[in-house]
Amino acid sequence: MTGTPETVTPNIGETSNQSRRKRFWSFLAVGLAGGALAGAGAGFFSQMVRHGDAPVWLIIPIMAAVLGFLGWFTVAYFRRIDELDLADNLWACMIAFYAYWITLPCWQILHDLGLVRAPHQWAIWIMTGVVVTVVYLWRRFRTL
Amino acid sequence: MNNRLKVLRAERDWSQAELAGRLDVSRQAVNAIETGKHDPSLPLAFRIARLFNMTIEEIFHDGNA
Repeated sequence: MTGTPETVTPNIGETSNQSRRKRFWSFLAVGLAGGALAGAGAGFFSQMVRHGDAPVWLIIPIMAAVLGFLGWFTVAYFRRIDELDLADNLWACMIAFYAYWITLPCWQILHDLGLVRAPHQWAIWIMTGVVVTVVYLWRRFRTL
Repeated sequence: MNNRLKVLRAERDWSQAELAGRLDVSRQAVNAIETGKHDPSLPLAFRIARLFNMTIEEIFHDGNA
């Protein structure tokens, strides 16, 4: 049995696909702008607190706002992407988590044996971000 | 998993973007399914089957049948 070819309006899917892409990139632009604003704001107020121009407690509501935005963005992002993108994200996050989880204790053991310097938390943090990005891009580019 | 998605799409003269729009997924998702790099979820497989007025088994098969 073969299906009956569709006779509905041609190109309705392409229009829908373009609209979907436009909505997604607009959302991503808003997210990136919000992230940049939150980062700049947090840095600015941190400096003010450091120089005694603002009370220390001010950093707590600022961090709460940044975390709240990040939480909203993450949930909204996962609601917008399709199942392939979700799978790519899960692959990237899982491998990056393993990289982080393994790197820190291994580095610590090597340090305890006197072979390397003490673990550097920011180096591990950056490495985790790099792994997420590389794995995600590898998954995306194989289906372009 | 093997599938007839590319053939069914070609019969209707649809591009990957056209099919993607009708299924509300990305064009990359359609490409990944067609090339066997991604097995669709059951809800998406049902959407594909409904779009082509076919059953899931008529579109997808595991190669052992």
